[in-house]
Order: sequence, then C-alpha cells, then structure tokens
Amino acid sequence: MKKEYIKPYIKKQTAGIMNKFGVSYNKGHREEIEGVPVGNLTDKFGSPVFVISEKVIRERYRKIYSYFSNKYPKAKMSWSYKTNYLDAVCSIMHQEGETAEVVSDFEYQKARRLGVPGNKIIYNGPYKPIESLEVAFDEGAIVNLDNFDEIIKAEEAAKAINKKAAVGIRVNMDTGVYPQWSRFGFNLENNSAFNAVKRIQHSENLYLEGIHCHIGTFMLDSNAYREAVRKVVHLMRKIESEFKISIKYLDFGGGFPSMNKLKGTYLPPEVAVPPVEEFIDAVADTLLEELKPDEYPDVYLETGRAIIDEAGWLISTVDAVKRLPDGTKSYIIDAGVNLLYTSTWYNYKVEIDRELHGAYENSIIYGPLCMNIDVVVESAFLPPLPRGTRLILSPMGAYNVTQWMQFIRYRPAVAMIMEDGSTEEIRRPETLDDVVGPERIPEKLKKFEL
Amino acid sequence: MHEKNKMIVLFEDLTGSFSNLIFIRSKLVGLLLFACTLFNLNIAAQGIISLVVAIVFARFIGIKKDDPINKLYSYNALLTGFAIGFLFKVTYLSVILTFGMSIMTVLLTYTLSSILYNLFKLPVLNIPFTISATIIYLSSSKYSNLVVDSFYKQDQYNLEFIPGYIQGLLRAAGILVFMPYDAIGIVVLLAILFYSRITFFVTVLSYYTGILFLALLKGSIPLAFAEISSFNFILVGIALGGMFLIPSKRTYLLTFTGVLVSVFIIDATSVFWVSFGIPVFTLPFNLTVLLYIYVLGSVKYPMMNYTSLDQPERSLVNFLNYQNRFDWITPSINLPFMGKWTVYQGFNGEWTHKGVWKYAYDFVIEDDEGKTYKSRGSEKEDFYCFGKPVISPIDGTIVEIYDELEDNEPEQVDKDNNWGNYVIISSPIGYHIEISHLKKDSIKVKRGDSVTKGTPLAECGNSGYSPQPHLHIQLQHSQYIGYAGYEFKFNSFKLADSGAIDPDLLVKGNSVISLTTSKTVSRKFQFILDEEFSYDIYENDEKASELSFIVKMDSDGTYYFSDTDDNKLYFGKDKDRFVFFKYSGNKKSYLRYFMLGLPSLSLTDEEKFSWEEYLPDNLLESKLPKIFKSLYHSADTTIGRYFKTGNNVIEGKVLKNKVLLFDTELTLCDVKGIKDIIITTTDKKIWMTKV
Repeated sequence: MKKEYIKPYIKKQTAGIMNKFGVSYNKGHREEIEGVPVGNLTDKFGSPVFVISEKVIRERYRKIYSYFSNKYPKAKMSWSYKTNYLDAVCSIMHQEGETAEVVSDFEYQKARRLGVPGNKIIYNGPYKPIESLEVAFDEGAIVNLDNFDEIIKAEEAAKAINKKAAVGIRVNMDTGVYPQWSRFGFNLENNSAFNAVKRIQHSENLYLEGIHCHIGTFMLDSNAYREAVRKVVHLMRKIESEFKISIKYLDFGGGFPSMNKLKGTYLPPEVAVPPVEEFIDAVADTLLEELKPDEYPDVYLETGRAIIDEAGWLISTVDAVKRLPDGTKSYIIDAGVNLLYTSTWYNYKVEIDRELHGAYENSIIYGPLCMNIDVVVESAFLPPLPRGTRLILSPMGAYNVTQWMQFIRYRPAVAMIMEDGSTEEIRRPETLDDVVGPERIPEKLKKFEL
Repeated sequence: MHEKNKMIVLFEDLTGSFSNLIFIRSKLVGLLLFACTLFNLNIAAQGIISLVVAIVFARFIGIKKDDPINKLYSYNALLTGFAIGFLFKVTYLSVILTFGMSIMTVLLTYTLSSILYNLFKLPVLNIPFTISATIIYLSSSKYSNLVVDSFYKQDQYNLEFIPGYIQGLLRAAGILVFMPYDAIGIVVLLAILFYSRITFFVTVLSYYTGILFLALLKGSIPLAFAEISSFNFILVGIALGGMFLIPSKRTYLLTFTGVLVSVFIIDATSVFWVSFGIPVFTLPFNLTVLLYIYVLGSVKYPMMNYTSLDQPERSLVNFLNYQNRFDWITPSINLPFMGKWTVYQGFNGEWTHKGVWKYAYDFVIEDDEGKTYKSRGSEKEDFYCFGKPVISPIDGTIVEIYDELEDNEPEQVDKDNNWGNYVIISSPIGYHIEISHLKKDSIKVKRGDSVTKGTPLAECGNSGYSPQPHLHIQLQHSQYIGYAGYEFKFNSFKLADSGAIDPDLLVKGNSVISLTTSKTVSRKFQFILDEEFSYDIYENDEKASELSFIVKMDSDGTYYFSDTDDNKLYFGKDKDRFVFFKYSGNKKSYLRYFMLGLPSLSLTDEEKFSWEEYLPDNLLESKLPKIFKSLYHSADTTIGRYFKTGNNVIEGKVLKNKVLLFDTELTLCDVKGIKDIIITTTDKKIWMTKV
C-alpha cells in the first residue's frame, strides 16, 4: 500500500492521565451502522444525523425483559418517555408491550396522542399541573405523588371529577450511595413516607395502590437496589398491616447504566459498568427472598438508558481542522453541544468512517457554535482527519433527542434503520417555519427600514 | 314460602310415581298414564290405595317428607297395587291385601335400598315390587275366600286389525301400566315419544332385539311375540340405554347385550316360577340392570351417567358439557418456572422420555433465534436458563431433596447420576412432582417444608444426565427418585406464539409463558350469596327487556345465578379459572348470554390471550334432534372462540358446525361483576348493560 504524505508537525510529549490500568482506544473504523453504509445515511438524510436501530432496541428490550420475567412472575416494564420520546421509538417499545412512563403533562399528551390508553401510563415527576391530574385520574393512569402539597392537589383533582382515585407515592431512602437522591418523593427514614400514606388513606378521594422509588441515575453498584427493594418491601408490609390494604404495584424506576464512558472515570465502560443482569438480579432476587408467592405485587422497571442508549449514533462531518496554539489538534464538526446534551457527562466513543493513517494523538472535537463551551469531545485519540471525514459518535440513543435545543442552527434529521435494513426518516430536519412558527410580531414592530 | 296444599303434594307424588313407571318424571306423562289406568278402575283404585297407604305408613313411622326414599317406595307400592288390581277387583278383602302388601313394600324398599346402596352403591329399582308381587301370587292361592270374592275377568282393549309384530310391542308397553292391551300400549308409547325420542328409540329397538333373539332360539316368531315377559326388554333398554348410561353408539350396543342377557334370565326363571303359577314380573330386568351397573361402575366405565337427570337428552347434553370442558381426572399443575420457556423434550420424547418415563417434560429458555445460550455457549453460565429460579408447581410438602452434584460443563453428562440434583414434592391429592438437573447448592427448601404454588425451590442447573442446562419435570406415584412417571397437564400458562391458554398437550418447540393469578381479576368474580344483579336489555338499541338474578347455592355446594323464571347458571372456580359450569333452563332466557359471552376466564393479569371452549347444547336452539347427537356426539357442535383483548374486554365468536352464529363482546367491571354483554348477529344486536 502506498504510504500517504502527512504534513510534518511537532508533538508535545505528556505523561498523560495517570492510570495504572491503561486506556483502550479504538483504532478501527466503522464503515457502516447495522449494515447500512455511513455514506448512504448522510447522502439520504444529510449531516449531522442521528441514527437509531430498531433491531438493537428490540434486542436490548427483549434481553432485559426476558431476564426480568424469568426471575419475577409479575414483571412489568414501562418506557421512560424522557429518555427518548420520538414517536417511532415509543411505538417500538409499545409494540414490545411496554407501557408509558411520563413525567409531565406534555409527555402524557404525547403518549395519549400516540394511542397509549390512559390506564397504560405511569405519571411521575415532582410537578404535575392540577388539570393534568384530573385527566390522569379520569383515564385511570397510575399516578405517583411526590410531596404533601401534591397530595392535596391530587385530592382536589379527584374531587373535581367526583372519583376516588388510586395513587402511588414516590419514596426516597438511604441505599448507601452518594449523592442520595432526596429531593424526589417522601423520605422513608424520617417517616414522612408513612405519614403520606396516612394522609392519603384518610382522604375521601384518594387511596394508595403502589410505591415508587428511583434511587439515582447511571448507578454503578447493584447493591443499592437490593437495599431499596428491602426497604420498600418493609414499607409495603407496614402499610398493608396498618391500613388493611393490598399494595398492587411496586415501581423501582430505572437508573441502570449503559456502555457510555462517564467523564472522570478511569476504566472503560466495558470494565466499569456491571451488566444489566446484575441489577435485575438485585431487584428480583431480593423480591423473591422477601415475599411469599401470594403477596407478589406487580413490579415495574422504568429502564430507559439501558435499553436505548446503545441503539443510537450520531454521524457528523469534520468541517475544519485546526491546530491550537498549544499544539493540540482540534476539529470543528457540524454538530454542537446544543444537540448533544449528554456530552456534559459522557466521553463518547468516536469512530471514523474510513481507514486513515498517521500518528494518533489526543484531539479536541469542537462543535459549530460560536460559543466557547461548545466542546463535543474533550479528548479523542485520533489519526489526522481530513476535512469531510465522518465521525460516528456513540452511544447516543438516550436523552439527546429529548434534551437537544434549537440554537443558531436547525436541528437535524433522525433516521431509523429498520429490522430489514431499510432506512426511514423518523424526524425530518427543521425548517425556518418550524422555528418561527410560534412567533408573533406586534403591529408597531412590523416595519423597519435599514 | 307457604306450605303447599296437602292435596297438591299428593297429586304430585301420584303423577310422579305414575310417570316413574316408565322411568320418566313428568306431571303430564304421569297424568296420561293415570288416565290409562282408569280404563280398568280396579287397577287404578288398588294402585292409588296402595300408594296412599304407603305414604301414610311412611309418615306414621317417621320417614321425613324430603327423604329420597319416598320416591322409591311410592313407585314400588304403586306397582304392587297394580299387581293386586290386575288380579282382584276392589272389594274389602282385596283392599285388606293391598293394605298389607303396601306396607310390606315400604319395608322391603327401605331395607333393600339400604343394603344395596350401602354395600354396592346400587339402586333398588323395582325389586321390592317383584318380591311383593310374588308374595301376593303365592299367598293368594291359599285365600279361597278372596279369590271367590274378588277374582275377575278384565275388559280387553285390543285392536285386532294391528299386525302381530306390532301388537307384541304395544302389549309389552301396556304391561308397564299393567294393561297389556294394544290401545293402552299406543298411549304409553306416545307418552314416551313425547317425552324423549331417545327413550322411545331404545324402547323400540331393545324390544325387537330381544324378540329377535327369542324368535331365533325358539324357532317361532309368533311365539316370540306372544312372550308375556318381553316387556323386560323394554325396561332393560330404557334403564341402560337412557338412564344409567350416556346415550351413544357404544352404550346402545351395550344395551343390546343387556337385552340378550335378560332373554336367558326370563326363560330360566320362568321354569321355576311357572310351576308355582306366577309370572316372572321384572326379575330379569332387575337382575340384568344391577349386574351391568355394578360391573360398569366398578371398572369405571367412562360413559356412566352419574347425574340424576331423568331425560336422556339432558343427560347427554350435560355429559358432553363436562366431558368436553373439564378434565378432573388427569392431574393438572402449574409450570415450575416464571416467564417464557420452551419445551425441549415432551411426552414420548426422542431422547430420554421413553418407557415408564415417557410422561415427562424438559424445558429450556430460548432467544428469538432459537438459541439457548448467549455468546458461544461454551460455559454453562452462557445458557439463558442456568441459574433461573425454579418454583413449586403445586401446593404440597417437600419429601426428597438432593443438591450435592456438580453442574456439568456444556456437552458433558454425568452418566452415574442421571437425575442430577432434584426436589420431590408431595401433593395432598396423592401424587408427587419430581424436578431435576438443579444447580448445585441452590436448593432453598428442606425435607418437610410446606410449599405453595410459586415458592422458589432452587435454580435451574446442569447436573446429572444433562448435556445442556435444562429443567426436567415429571409426575410420579412414588416419592423416590427414578420411579415411573404418569400423565399430567399444565395449567395457568399461555402459548407464546398463538396466545392460546392452557392447551392440553405441549410438544417440542412450544414456547410457554407462565401466568400468575391476579387478586384484582379474582375479585371481579367473587359473587356473594343473595347478591342481586340487574341488567337492562336493548335489542337493536331499543329497550327490550330487563333481567335480574340472584346468587344462590345448590344442595351440592355449587353457586348459581337464578333469574326470576328459575333458570340457573352455575359458576365457580376451576384450576385458576372462573367458569360457568353449566346452564339449566330454557333457551329464551337472557341469563344464558353470560355463559355464551364468557364460559370461562383465566384469572390472570395477563391482558391478551385466547382460548376455545365447547358450548353445551342447551344454550342455543338446535335443529338436530338429540337422537342423532346420541349416535354421533360431535354432530352439531357449538364452539366459542374467545380473545381477551384488554384489561376488561373479552371478545368472542360463537360457531356452530364451524359457521359463525354471532359475535360477543363482554366487558368486566373495574371492581366486580360483568358490566356489558353485546351479542351481534347479522340482523340483531342485543346489548345487556348492568344497572
């Protein structure tokens, strides 16, 4: 093979990050995603483009659900809308049998619009407008309440529609992890969870049906879930015997990690992140240990990231190559942090679309925004990339297409690679009309001359 | 409820006893037969005197009104009275005889019935009558005063233009009411025909079968038709073909063998009896039928009729309902695991399920591609089922455990310890469940522990003769490892691909999803005694009627809905299902739509599944007479196909002979009961909605 000419440069020698384990890095390249050439995707949908694989979503979901349902007889899963609420993605989840877990009235309406019946929705979150509570109670949704004021609000909502509504409570507790998520729900240790139940059971318009907890996000220690299950089951027993009721469901939320590399961690995710089975073992084994068969409640998991994150990629294009004054190699690509909310805490895996030669060096990948903070990847170990190289960033399935924002540029297309290898545009790129549509100019501002 | 007038009670006893003469229980038929006896007032009078004396005597000695023995002695006493009336006209002397013999019949009935039932679970039939009548004939030969005073010659009601081969049948039928005359025979046969075509069919056929045998043996057809005891053929026919056995081709054949047997008994007994001047009465019938019932009952003949329904048509409908919808013989257990597993080897399997171990199942977990392992499957931990919980499929007690064997690596087997680590659970019903190839040190129960359905027992492993991790389960009669397996079934599961619930047999490759019972769904069907329900009924959106019914309990402990017309719909729980057991009532009642809309429902929180159900023939009008159905049981079959399509909705299609009759849609209430039933035919829509 002909050796390519590379412009000479001076490379600063550094000791690098102190890490006795060594870092693995990807020297390979990726010409296709799930069998579809990267070039075909950009030709058809432009660049940048988010790519989601139907096949990977289904595989991930089935793997998790079958493992869970083989270990606990009343295993249920509810799709965490906030993780990725694109219609096409949610539809796959609902086809697989997942219900919808929403945390706002917008998400509730979106799920309803997609055809999810109200009684197949779990309505969580610390802020639920009273009107949305009325709708949720009327349609029979599972509503998990967050605080005492919300109990009063729920009571008013149920009274307004003249119904005795079933509710759950969200609880928080010490499971031995730091930081403890104590801002959501009622605390278990200081008895406010029990008091909340007391308040609900004394209400004429509410009754308790379930307990919800969500101990954190991107949890790396499964033991925390054992502790959570144990504590929630004990609370359930206490409630059942005190109030002579039967708890219908327990909801252990989500928080299972994906194969993304958290910033500040030494080890690659393949080593640092425990397999999802370990988390399900923690939940299911503890349930079987603690409960008798005739007591088994429905148990929900709201796994989001662990299903979808690895089913998503972003293809972007190198638009300019720049060497910074300190000698660091940097690239400007066409996708910025406004699209990649998760870049704040993840070091994405960066892959290139072709075989390239030259010495690998740590490079910075900047986005196209005219903002100093627009750093997509702080440090990627890459060979010299010519302009036009496609970069494939991953895992990208969770949170980005819900938390992205329109800022100075249009948001790009989202494509889906279907199970049969065909591709579909599941969200078209935005146009000017999409952005200015909601805007209105007061009469006196309409005319100007320059 | 106020006490019924004594005369009405007597009238009912009378008509009941009269209709019983031909094994029927119908006031109308009873009245008709009573009318027949009026052609000979002596018979009618002696019969009634005997019946009244028997009843009065029974009350006098303290036999309660609701004692089932009442039916038996009054029927026998009636026959005894007829026998006297047949010989003697009503005079004070013959009435003395009737008095005495009637009391004797009560005593005989009580005694024989106790002995036969307690020792052999056999009915007394009309043996008391046979004995009483024999006593009358024997003793009256000594009473010259009585004979001189009362003996008389009867009027004949014969129609000489009828050919002999029909006269024979008519007279045999007439004898059933002690009037062996053509005209009476016609009435009796018409009464039988009116009441039950099946009874009529066996009456005629068994008579001619018996006569055929007789004619062959005697070598004379007229002699055969003249045989006075040939009415025994009819009695044997009705009893076996229509009462004690379920009408079918096989039991008809059996009935004819009974007729053949009775031929010899008739002729043999007559040799003795005739020399004393007495007829053989119903002795051949009693002997033959008792022999058959005793032997068939002892060998557990499947077509025995254990219900006491008097009309064979109804017995048949009832039998087919239970036979097609309920299996209470084969033990049925839950699956020993959670979630979805796949049959790897079924009954009569290709590898190890052979010989005495042919009744066993092996299960594994497969992925979408049909693989049982992830990555390369080179380690036992790669197999999906390895380490998964194994749960108790029954309520019972742990009798044996073993968990010291190492789990093999894939492709290796432990030939010395075929069964590997195992658990044996004993069911209180008497069988044992053996589950093996468990993971070493994973057993969570001890010998003597009580377990319920769903209790975690151990984890799936790869010990013993197991080339890949899997679960083996079988049902044994012994509590020790290695013994023979017996047939069993699973319940509370659905097939993963079709969504069908609880099919009878699983075969290799079937993927099954284990279901759990739901408290919420069970609560929807907890109907309490005296609870009342009302429904508004709309036909084509116009209010047509109302239905209200109440929950009651039958004497056997079964609960039923009873509407204002006394139609009954029996319901209860069977193997984690809510079921409507049977319907008893007319074909107009709206109550039957409950059963047509939902003959059964698995009490699981699973929302989507399907099942098929045989629907009993008394729910819908049928054009095909039951006599054809008795010859061909699967003729004119109604099947319902049901789909649970959501939390509370069950949709169904009711098909007769595979042709769609109507669609059903039933909605359950959120808390308890059935909210709506919609029946849609091509031209009509019936909507029943709970008030």
